[in-house]
Amino acid sequence: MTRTTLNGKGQVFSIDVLFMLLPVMMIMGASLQYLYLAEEQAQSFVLNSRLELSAQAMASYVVSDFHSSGDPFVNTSNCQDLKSSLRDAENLFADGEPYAARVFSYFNNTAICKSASDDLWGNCPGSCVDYYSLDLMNNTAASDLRFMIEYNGSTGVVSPGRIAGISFIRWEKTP
Amino acid sequence: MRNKGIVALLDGLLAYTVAFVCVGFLVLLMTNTQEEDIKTSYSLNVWAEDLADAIGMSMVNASNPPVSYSQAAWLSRTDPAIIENLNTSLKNIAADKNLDIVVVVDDNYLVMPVGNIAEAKEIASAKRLLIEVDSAYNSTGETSVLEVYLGALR
Repeated sequence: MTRTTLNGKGQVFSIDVLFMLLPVMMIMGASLQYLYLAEEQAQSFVLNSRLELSAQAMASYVVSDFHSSGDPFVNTSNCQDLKSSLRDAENLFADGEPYAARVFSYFNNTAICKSASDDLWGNCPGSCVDYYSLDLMNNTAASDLRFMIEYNGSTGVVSPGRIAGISFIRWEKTP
Repeated sequence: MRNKGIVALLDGLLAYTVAFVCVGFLVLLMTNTQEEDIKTSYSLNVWAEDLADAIGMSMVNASNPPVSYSQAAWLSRTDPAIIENLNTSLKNIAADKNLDIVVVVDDNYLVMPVGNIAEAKEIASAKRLLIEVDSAYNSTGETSVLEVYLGALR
């Protein structure tokens, strides 16, 4: 590694040293680029973790509200209960921040609670499905899923073995 | 001789720089991987708890028992139709979320395991103590353990 010239004098920036520095400079350049990208990602991560936490908070609130009501089940007859729980949970967010909820039977593979236009319920401006497809790809959304037992409105007891999933989706408010 | 010393110094600096950059890379990569693992593990544990509740309620409420037994299972009279319903629901959940699901009562499979049993047992689990009741819904004094295991998202 150490090179000296023929006359015995050491050469600090010999061609060997410069060549040796090349891969190091490349690695350092790559790491700087990586760090820059990491910083960019960190910004969206901070944004997303706020959304993720609020989606989880919404899910926890709604599920515990169902459980504390003594009717810890979902079916088409208590969609209104779900709706009022969602409205209460809106207080967790800043005004006008969009969210949606979807109740899905994993026994029948069908949506349980449907709004007039689609199977997502929420306060999206316009259709929640449109909102979902537009903004999910922009990495400005977060969601949480919880499972609950289904309830048979006609017999008044739970539908044993039939499990539903309630998913909650949160979006960043667009200016 | 003096220049040799400087060149040696540069070499040392170079070695430290390379080592520093390499370690930095490793740390960043490990941090990213850990973060993903924690998120996945958290979600799976919450889901395991939810499913354990849903399965526990399924097994007892089929016989419309008193409210006090809403979390208990009546194993001796668990209807095969309920097991079939559970099987369908859990298979659909596993397919939709790419999960391994294993449900065990007293070390016996309650439903057919879905996916990889070993993977499921490593990631997330939830347990419920089930009280067995007789035909009059009185406790027999026997208890069983319901265990739900969920495997990693593949």
